[in-house]
Amino acid sequence: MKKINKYLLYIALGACFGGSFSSCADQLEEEFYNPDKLTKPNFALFFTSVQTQGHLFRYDYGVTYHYMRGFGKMLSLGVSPLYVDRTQNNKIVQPWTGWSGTPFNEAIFEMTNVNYSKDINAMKLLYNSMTEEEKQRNKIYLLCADVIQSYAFQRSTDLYDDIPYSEVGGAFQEKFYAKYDTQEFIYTEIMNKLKETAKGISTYQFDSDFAKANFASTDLLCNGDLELWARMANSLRLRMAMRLCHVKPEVSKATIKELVAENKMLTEYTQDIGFEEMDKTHAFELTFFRGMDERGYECGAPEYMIKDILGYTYQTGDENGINRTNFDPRLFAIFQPDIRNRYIGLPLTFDGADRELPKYYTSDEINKMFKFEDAVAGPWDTKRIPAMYNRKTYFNFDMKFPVMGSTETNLLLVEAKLRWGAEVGAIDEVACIKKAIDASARFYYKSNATNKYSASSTPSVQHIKPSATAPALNEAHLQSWCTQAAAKYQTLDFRGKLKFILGQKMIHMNVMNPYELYSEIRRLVKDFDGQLPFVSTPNVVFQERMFYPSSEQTNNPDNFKAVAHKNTYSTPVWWTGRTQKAINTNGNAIDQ
Amino acid sequence: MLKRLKSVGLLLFLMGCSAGMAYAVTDPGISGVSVSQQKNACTGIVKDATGESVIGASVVVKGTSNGTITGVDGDFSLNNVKQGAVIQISFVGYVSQEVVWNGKPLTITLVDDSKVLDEVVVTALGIKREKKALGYSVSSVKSGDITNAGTPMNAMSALYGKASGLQIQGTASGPSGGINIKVRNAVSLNESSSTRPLIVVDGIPIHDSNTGQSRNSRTGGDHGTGLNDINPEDIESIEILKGAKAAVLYGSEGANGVMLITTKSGTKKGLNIDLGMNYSWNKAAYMPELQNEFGSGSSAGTSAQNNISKDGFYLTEKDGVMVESLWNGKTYNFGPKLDGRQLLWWDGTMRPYTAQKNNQEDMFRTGSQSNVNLSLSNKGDLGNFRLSYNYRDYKSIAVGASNKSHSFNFSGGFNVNDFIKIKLNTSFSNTVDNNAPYVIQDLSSYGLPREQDVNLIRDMMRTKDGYNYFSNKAINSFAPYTGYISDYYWSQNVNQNVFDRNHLIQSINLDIKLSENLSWNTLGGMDWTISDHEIKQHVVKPLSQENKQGYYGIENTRNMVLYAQSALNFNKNFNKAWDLNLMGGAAVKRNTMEQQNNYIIETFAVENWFSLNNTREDFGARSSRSRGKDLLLSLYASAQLSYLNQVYLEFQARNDWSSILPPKNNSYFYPGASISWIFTEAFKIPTMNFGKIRASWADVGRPGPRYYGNVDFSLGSYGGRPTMSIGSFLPPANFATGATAGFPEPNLKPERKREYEIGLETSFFNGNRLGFEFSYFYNNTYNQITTLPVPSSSGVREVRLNAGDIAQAGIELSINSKPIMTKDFTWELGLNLANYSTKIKKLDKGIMQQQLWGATGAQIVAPINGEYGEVWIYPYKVDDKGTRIVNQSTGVYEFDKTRRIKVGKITPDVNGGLTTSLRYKDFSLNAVFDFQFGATMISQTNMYLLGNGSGKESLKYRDEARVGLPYYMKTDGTRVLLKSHNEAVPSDSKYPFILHDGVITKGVTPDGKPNEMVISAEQYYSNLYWQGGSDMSEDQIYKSDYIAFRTLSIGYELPKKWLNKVKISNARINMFANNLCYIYKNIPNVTPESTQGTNSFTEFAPLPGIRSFGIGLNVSF
Repeated sequence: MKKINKYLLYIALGACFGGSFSSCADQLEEEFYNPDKLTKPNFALFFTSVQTQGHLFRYDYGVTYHYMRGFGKMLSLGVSPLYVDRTQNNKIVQPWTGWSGTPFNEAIFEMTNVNYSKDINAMKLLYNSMTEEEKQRNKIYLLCADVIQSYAFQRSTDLYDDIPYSEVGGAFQEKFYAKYDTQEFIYTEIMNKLKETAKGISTYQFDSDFAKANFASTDLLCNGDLELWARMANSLRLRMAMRLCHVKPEVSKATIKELVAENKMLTEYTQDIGFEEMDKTHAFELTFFRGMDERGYECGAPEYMIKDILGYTYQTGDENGINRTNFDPRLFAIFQPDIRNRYIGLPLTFDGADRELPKYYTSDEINKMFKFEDAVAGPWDTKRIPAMYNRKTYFNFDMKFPVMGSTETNLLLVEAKLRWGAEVGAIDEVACIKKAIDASARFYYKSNATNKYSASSTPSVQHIKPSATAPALNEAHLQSWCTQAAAKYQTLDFRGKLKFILGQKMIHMNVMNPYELYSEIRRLVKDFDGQLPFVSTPNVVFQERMFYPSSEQTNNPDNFKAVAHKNTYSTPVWWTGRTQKAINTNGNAIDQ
Repeated sequence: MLKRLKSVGLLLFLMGCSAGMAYAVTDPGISGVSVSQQKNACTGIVKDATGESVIGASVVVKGTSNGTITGVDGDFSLNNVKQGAVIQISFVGYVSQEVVWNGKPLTITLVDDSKVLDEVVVTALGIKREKKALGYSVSSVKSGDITNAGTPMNAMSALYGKASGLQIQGTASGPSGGINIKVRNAVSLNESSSTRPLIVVDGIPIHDSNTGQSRNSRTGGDHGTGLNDINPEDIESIEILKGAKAAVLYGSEGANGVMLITTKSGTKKGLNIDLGMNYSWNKAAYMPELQNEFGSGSSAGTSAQNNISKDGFYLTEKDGVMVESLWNGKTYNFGPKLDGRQLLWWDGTMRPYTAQKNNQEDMFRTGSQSNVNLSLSNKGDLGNFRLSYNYRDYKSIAVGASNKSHSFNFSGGFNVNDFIKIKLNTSFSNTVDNNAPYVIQDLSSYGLPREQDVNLIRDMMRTKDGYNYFSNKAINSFAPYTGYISDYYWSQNVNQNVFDRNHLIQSINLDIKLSENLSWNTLGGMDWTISDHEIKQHVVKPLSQENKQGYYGIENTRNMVLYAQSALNFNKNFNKAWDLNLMGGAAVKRNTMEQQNNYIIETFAVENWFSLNNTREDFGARSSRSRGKDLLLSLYASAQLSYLNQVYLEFQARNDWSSILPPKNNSYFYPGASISWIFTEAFKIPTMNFGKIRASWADVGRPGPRYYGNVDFSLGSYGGRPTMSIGSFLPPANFATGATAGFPEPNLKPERKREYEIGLETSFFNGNRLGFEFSYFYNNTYNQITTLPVPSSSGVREVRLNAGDIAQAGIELSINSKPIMTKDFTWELGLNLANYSTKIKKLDKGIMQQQLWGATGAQIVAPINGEYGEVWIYPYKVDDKGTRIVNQSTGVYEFDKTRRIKVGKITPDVNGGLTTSLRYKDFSLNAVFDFQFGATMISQTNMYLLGNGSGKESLKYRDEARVGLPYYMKTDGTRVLLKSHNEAVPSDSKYPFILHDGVITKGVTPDGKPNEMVISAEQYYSNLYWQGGSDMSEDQIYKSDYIAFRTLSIGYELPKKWLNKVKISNARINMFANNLCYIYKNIPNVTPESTQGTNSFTEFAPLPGIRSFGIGLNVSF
């Protein structure tokens, strides 16, 4: 009996243990899954996610910070007084090196391939497994995603030249090693795709209002307006067609002719596409605004913008009010006046600084400006001496950050007319110039006038000085200037006109779209016999292309071999039509 | 193999010489003792088991002071001994004996004290085994070894050099931070994967993780892990299960080795009270050698300056007059020579321009550590208990940083009856870590201005209104160093960063003897770690001036490990020759983590009110939450068969079911087998007391990170709109192909290590005066759960998968000797060595190398067919002849970024330790040395010391005496070399003086001509060592080779005759020192232990090392 009890005890204990072991086993599967992640994908939400990726439509803090620091100097988007101090005259700046060089050079390549593509790749995986009916219903998401991807890859190939394109995004098919396609091939592919996509979007019909509303709720960029998507695709195609002006002029002409004939591009102010930061909570800390805030040192107003592009020259007494209308009214919205309420730009050469600055500032002020001793409360201290970008305009967290718009499109059409005349169709260059300036002025004035943010708002913005508030847009002044500008354009020679168009792009895009400016500058070098069509900051070496991420050499060595020889700062990209680098001749420490 | 043995062999030879010499002097020199019979003379002879005379044995009449020692023939004679008296005979290495004298000559045979050979060690799952029966290597460190050099802050730091195969490395955080622990050079292809061993305390696997410092001012302090909480005074032993077979019963968690910590319990009858107190002083040590010749600023030869005095000083306006001042906006120490003249400083005051030679030391204080330990214990028929309390108070050398800990430990054993025993272990500690310093890298990268009195900055920092004086941008931009120096003081003295950790480790063990042969053992318990991290960052200026200020955050983290195991044990002896031991059981382990972070970031509504309500954001404080849990179920079994106590054969296996792995894929089997033969039981070998050969094989695993194998998506919100995003990695999964391919199925498998090991263990001479233990192992760590980088053009940056195969071979050797053994004097000497080599056999997906770490131009990689942890950097550009090319813009070399070269590896070839102890009567001395050779260390500090002109090594070229070249600065800013330092100032000179700090970098121009470009010394150093974002150069690669004199302790046992009067049974006073010096160190200016954390490969440490000295008193009642 004692023995039986013992065995019963063993069995009972064994059963207890076995039972609890078994019940635990049931939880293994449940606990495999992360309770804070979803295992069921959602097609439409991926589409929303793509649009929110940093530095695609909403510029992010980090990359903005880095491009403002080095790359922006190279393009003279703003002036850092320190760099026009002659005592610094033998310090060379290679924008691809140093604190900002490597992270900035690698950023766009990496983000294009992964951040801007991964959710689109996920959409394609889901799309593959849909029924034909579902595919038809969801096709519009993919079409618009194609526009986004084209926009991203166009920027990337412009920066890096040959990049992986036709074989990108193969990870989920276990294809990891994409070959490098030539820029020529990529341009051809993207332009063809854009043509088809624009057509597909234009002809797409939602099968219900519900589907339309659903799409609109996920479309942060165009709010469900398919026509805008199609126009964006066409404007992008126009941009790319112009880029081929030296290497494939026939393609340029044919494409532009087709686009002009169809006339469905972003040509009106009302069609300007921008991206308003919707995450107001992080609007400052994660985005463009913080980058620009911290790099206020590079935000001095360039003299060439104020004098040469906006057509304004300071006259004694202007600090008390300017009654003239023979200058671009964007002056008030794009820039804020200096410490004495004057719009005086900073020259971009040592000689210019030596010559001009003493006219307006004491030697002590100049010294303080050069040493940033006026930046006591930071680079946007309201007592900063020089005129700067207008903080009130640029720190409006509700602004629609420019993505693509009519100013660029109209300026491209003007250039098309300049290069090829009637071959590309009927382009009214005067009307285009007027529309370009008009739209640009309205954008900047609106941003300035609607900025409701202050030191006490959430998010807050400090250091907006009263003089940063632009006067209400004087319509007469604007129209007058549009007419004057168009008239001036017509008086210029070929290169003068090219410089005029570039100048309008510089003033409109400035720190908010350095990539297009960079490409346009490089494209125009050939038209200027190898010289830069603008003045770069002293001693900043002009970089003809971005360096590939060093990880490409490590992770994709076989394919990288095809482009390794081009991975230098001095090799122009294909569409420049050049093999010789352009040289910044400003400054005496520059390498030749 | 031979190559590896070479270095080990050399050390063995040296050890042998040392031991041989020691042995040669062991003759106590005692002459023969007369054996003539006298009245009441007790005579005799003392032999050992082999019949050899035992010389120098102590022979004492019990209870008296009448005693002697044996002579050369083992003989002795004692007078005035009464018949019936008890004679005590003792000698080191033998079991003491007591015999009753009956008036006749005595012949006493001493038996070897084979304690070492019969040593019982704790093995996997808490199973106790005789060490001699093991078929694998286990290292054991006892309590005395842990606390004989004072009570360490972290018990792990007492293990330096104590066990072969165990690598211990402190970090820049010092003893209150984490400590790097590696068993058998555990390596992983994934930097974030832990290579730390499984830590088991009284049978319960505890929560443990890597820790480190960072540049984040809020979270960048290293507060250590739960391992820091274990009171070293409570540890009875630490067993290190090194190989796969040793750890096979831990299955999927055994691949990194296992560290078994057993706490003390009551072992002596009667109430025992132990009281211990220690106090030590910590001093900053091993600081960089700084130059004291040149102050902050720039050389006038670096650029054409307008505002330079006739002596080359910077001019600033003061009261309308230009006066010589400190250089505006500069941090580097490339300014003019420190000559004591009055200069205008950043606050508008004139002060002398004089070297502050001690300003580096001044930033740190003399730290301290005090410990009080009290324990009560008893043991009786019903059971035993031990209750202890420990208080540790640590004051770091970094100002404002401290760590206080209260620990309670209870161990209770209760014998319910003859069959049932219950044991309870509870350990609770509360640790409060205050203001653990984060990495203010600017201190290292920009350096300390040589003329700056840091105490002045400290004292001026806080204004009367409580703001930071140096937040004034005007001052900060004039003198940027005031910003980062004051950051240190502000962070340490004004802000509060309190990390409060409560840690409970609880286990209960039930042991039931079911029959003569059968028993049932069940263990259950938990590790519960609750951390509350509160951060208060003050505003540095009025909110009215800058409203983006202030931080207040509370982060609560709960980690819980619940663990239970239960097993049946069966023991049976057959035919008095065969012993069979069977065991089978099951275990369950659950890990849970919850973290909640609430914070206000730079939105203070009012100044310095540290409340979550103090925000200007409408939605209140921000928050984030993360959580996770996993479950591990296991079945295990073990069978050991022994024959005549000389051959032991063991099979063990475990099957794990893990929730970390996909449901279809979550069951895995881990087998192991070992055999050992004590050949000295079969053969008599002269002088050899013990000899064993052993061999083992096993396959164990390493757990993957939780949720690593999932195919899932992140739901987000953007401005109120939902978003969904896929990761930027490819999950471990089976891929469908074709046009309709959808998302893949997860397929993660466990990571595994397969290892075989052979070993030899021997001991020689009476008292086991010489012992060797040798192991050779070879393992493959394969199916590693890792992340391999793929080109981003694939659409992802990384692939998560099971991949790779790292082969590792290693030799471990330990030698223990007792060169001198006499009654009064004993000298013990131990040496352990380990030598490892790794080879990457396989990666996956066509990837040829895995990058383990990368920054500052350096990469640490694991290339196929290469070694683990190779360090690769960009070389300088050279021409066809190998001559370095000098960039004609910078005047120095530039990196050739088209290729990288290998400059070393992070794993050492050889590491080990030397321990020695001397005992003379009541005095004892213990010393530990440890060493490492063959590893490379990436040291940014050394690079910066050159690049910013602070280091002594940067003095070359600074002036004529330091071989600087003469030149002058033309008005157009170009430099022109002069023939002599005495030349007159040329007419086109920018300055009224010529310069003497010219350098022409040796090399050629890009077109092959000799470089003739003259640059200033400042340009030379800053361009060369700061160029390209501070990339590491091939001239700045150092080995982390070292031989450290790690600890020294001197103890004195107070005479019992004094103590008996005050009812004290034992009292010991000791003095100790830790980290005394590096006898040899390859890397200058920093130490091999300056890394930023437990899994860090690099250093850029503004915090120096620590040297400590202390005293202690231990009293037992």
